[in-house]
Amino acid sequence: MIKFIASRLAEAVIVLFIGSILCFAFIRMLPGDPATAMYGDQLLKMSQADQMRIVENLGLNEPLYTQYAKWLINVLHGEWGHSYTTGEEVKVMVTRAIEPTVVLMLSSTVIILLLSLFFGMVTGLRRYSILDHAVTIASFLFMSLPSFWFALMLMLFFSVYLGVLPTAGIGKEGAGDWLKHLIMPSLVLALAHIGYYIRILRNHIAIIKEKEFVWALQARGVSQRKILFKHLLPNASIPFLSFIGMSLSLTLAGSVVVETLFSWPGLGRLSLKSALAHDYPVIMATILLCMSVVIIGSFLIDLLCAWIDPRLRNQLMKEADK
Amino acid sequence: MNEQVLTVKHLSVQLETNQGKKQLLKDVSFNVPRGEIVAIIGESGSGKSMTAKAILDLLPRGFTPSSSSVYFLNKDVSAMDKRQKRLYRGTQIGFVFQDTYGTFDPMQTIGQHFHELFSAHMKISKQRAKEKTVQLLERVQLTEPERVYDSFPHELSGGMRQRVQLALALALNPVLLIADEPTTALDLRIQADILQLIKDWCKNTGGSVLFITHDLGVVAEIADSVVVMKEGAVVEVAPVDQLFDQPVHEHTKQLLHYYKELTETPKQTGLFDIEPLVTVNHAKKTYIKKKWFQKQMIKAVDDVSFCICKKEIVGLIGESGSGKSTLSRLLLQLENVEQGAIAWKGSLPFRKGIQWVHQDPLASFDPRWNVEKIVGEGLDYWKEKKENKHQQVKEVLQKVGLSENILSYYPHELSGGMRQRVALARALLLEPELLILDEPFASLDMSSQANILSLLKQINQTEKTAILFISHDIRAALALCHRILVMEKGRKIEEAGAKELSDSVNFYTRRLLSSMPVTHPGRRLQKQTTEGEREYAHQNG
Amino acid sequence: MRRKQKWLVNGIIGYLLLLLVFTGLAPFFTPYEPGAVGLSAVLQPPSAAHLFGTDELGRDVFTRLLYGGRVSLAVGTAAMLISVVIGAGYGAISGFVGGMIDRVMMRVLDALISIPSILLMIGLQIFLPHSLTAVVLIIGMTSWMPIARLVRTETLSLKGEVFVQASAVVGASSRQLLTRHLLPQCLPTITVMSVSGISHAILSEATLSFLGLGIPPHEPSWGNMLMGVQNYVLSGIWWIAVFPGLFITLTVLAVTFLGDMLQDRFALPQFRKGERLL
Repeated sequence: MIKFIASRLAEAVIVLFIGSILCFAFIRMLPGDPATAMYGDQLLKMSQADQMRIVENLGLNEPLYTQYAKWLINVLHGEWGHSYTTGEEVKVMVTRAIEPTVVLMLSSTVIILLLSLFFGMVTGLRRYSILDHAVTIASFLFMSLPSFWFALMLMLFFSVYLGVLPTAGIGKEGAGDWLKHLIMPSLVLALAHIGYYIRILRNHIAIIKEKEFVWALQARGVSQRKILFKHLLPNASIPFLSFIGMSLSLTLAGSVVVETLFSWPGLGRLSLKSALAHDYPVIMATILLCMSVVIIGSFLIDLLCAWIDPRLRNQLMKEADK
Repeated sequence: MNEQVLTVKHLSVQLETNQGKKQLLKDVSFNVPRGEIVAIIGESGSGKSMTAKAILDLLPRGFTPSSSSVYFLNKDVSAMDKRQKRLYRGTQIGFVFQDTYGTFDPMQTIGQHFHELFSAHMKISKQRAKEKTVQLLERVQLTEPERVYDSFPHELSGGMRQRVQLALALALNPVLLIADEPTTALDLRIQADILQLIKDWCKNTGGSVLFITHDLGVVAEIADSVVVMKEGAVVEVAPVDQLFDQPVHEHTKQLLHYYKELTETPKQTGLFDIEPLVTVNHAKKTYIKKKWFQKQMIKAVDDVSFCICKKEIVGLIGESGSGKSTLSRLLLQLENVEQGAIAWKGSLPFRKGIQWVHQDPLASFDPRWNVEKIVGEGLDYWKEKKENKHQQVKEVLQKVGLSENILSYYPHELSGGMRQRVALARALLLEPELLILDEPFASLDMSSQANILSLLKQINQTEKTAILFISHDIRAALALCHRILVMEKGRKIEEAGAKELSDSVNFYTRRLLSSMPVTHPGRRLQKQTTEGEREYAHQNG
Repeated sequence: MRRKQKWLVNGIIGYLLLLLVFTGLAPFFTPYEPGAVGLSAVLQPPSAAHLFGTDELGRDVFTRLLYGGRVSLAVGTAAMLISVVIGAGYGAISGFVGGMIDRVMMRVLDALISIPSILLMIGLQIFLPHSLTAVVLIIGMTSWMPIARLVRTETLSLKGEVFVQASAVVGASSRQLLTRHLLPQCLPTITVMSVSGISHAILSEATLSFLGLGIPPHEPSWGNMLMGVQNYVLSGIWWIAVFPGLFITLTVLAVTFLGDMLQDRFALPQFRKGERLL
């Protein structure tokens, strides 16, 4: 088991390393010049020597791999550099943005889990019932909604017509206000992917329900409730969990749009803003952070799946031994 | 002593589909008296498993049984309430399935399965449940019950899982044990053990058994009386001796005829060419299984030498894991030998001359191709034979006894026997000199087995094709082959003519032979004594 | 159940056909030009003259929807084609070759997948000039990863199938195995992925354009019609936001259903009408 964890961890580190190289190389190939990004038109008015000095200061005249190595060492030391646009320390900017994003992701995950567990289970057990048809259509509908448009429609309804929910920012006046501000963004983020979760759970419950061991349990006189919660659900939970791992990056991508729309001061909004402003240190930091979250998240979910499912554990350990 | 434990009276089952109602069981009636073993025998689709599910009142949705047809200890099962039914299913009846893997929740240990069963019907502490479980596992002769207790289903072999299933079924001392083809997927030796366990349980506790099977050998071995089913109806009910000696119904006679064909060792042996076709010289193949830091070498084929001559039928017998399938893959050049050599008529093996019928024909067909494409595929790769492919395919289908109507069928639409024939046709189309058959009888009905058996004999005679018949079923090998090789753990341990094999003195071969079910219920006692004598003789040199 | 499905199939195909006809023959269905600015009729609510109202420059929303549909559908299809070609190629190579190359390719894929796609798109967008072709390229080049992973899994599992070995025994060479068995087996998966790829591409185009990173504004698309509408929505001018979004949703829904049904159709004969995992 230790070896398995170690090999998965090594794999995760390799992926992160490859990812960081990809990001770095990619961003450095962009036409936007960081010196221009930082000083704008002022740069043109400066003397040749001043321009050179700035380029040197930013380390832009060194070969790419040295720049990358330096940057990597800095990152590992917690030194993320300064924003080209605001001059603020990247570390501070990013740390400030983490909390709102985590709050948003957690609340939407709670919504997803509650709704999809309930509806996935009910529709999986009662396939082709009226409820199942309704949930199926709703799932497909939510899969097809552009999330920004859905957000606009919610705003139109709850903020413009009913006037009950605020449209922007984080609530600062007590728990009620905070919750009110959270409802719409987390709902949009959750519902964008909930269709997939419901479908996956439904289809797996339906498949496992027909397995012979369920029949055998009935023949041994085990009660329906026990069969559902002790056997059907754990067996169906593996694909469900691994989908959560896979969709982490989808959810983060979704949060870019949602945070921007609702002026939610999180990582998503920060990354979009800095990307539009060619603010390389900030983009690198946010992308790397998002990547680490996704990679570590899927690593943890892999562990969780292996812990739940003995067959998977067996198979993964065999793979690790190769 | 003649109390009826189970009475089935005029049981019918209907299936409602979009196309209308379909009658699956018609007026099935029989009894299971206390302390007796009743066997239901029938081909696939005869409704025998359906009957078992109806007895437990656990038919899938859409299947409607006739009411008040099943009586357990004179109580109407369909009239029981939910709680009574749970008690009836769980404590009064034990159930053993054919599929040894699918009936366990893959995510729970064997111990958890037992604990769940106990706690569903009584208050029991975890400690007590474990003690009881270990006792039960010991009773079904599992060697390391503590280890089995903590194992997950996938960590056990098929035979072990079947023993565990039996222990689960007998855990709460049921009145009736229902066994649905419990030994079909197992090696003969494990089959013999399981049958013995069931017989012992029946004798020691006075419980009754309803035993569902398609194999008359098993019936002869275990049953007191027999119910013969065909197409959802009971055609004959008789005590076992009477059934074997004076069958009444045509279908029963037919089954007995097939059975005889499958169990008879042919008179003439050794009438073959001595010109060798394939010679295997000291072939070796090892697989490396890495486990943590140590490597484990598994000798799949270990220093095996033999030859197959022209027009000869050679049987390769061994239990699962004995290396017989690996050997066939080596002959087919799907894998290469590590040491030793395989030579085809003195030179290197030659692809077209050796053809293959896989043990699971369905898996060996491209699921998107129809029969014509599947059978004709071989011709596409050999230029000189390409013309009038359609005609050739038709001819070869005729040769294996299939009509040309099935040319446009897809593999999944064919029955088990038909699939085997199609696979045979594909192989024969290339006019091979050697045909390798890997467990061709696995998962086939007795009638299909008998038909394929005679077809193989016929092909061997008319086409002069040599056959390598790979099986764990020594009975079938004796009925078909001229010469038999026995393998154990990658080694060839015996080679003998089919006739001589039954007099073998090799310990392992003897054990294989003794695990064959008797051919007639009257031989049960006789077999036990002769075996005892032989064993005695063996031990005393 | 059957009848309902037939009704659904007809509805979806009918909708998609109508959409193609209306957008393809847009000039026949509307008297206005998509770019015609009418400053006398700015932000008009829906009326007989302007079926879906007018936008902030007085352009007819209905007209722009028809013309925008052309762009959105074309971008969706073209981007899907790019992603399928890259994805299927990458996955097939990785799965068929195996070994070290497979491992490296898979780790690179993992890294790419773990970057939120919208950030990748924004990155590429900076790199490429602001044009329609650029949008197609961006979407195509950032959405091939799931296809690659699926095709690889498929190729890997097919390599071990008994029927592939069986056809080697009757004499097929490895090239013949690839062309006669492996590729045809992958084709349905690729087709189904392509259809759902269209939905994905349409949604991506909409998101990008909404953020102002997509199709340049002078050419209407469903996405860029929504660009900057947030403030109008907040002041209650709903029609310029509702209709484009509605069309995106309906179209994506129809295509998604189509993909779902194709999956059913392409399933192995014995699994048809059976259950899928998603």
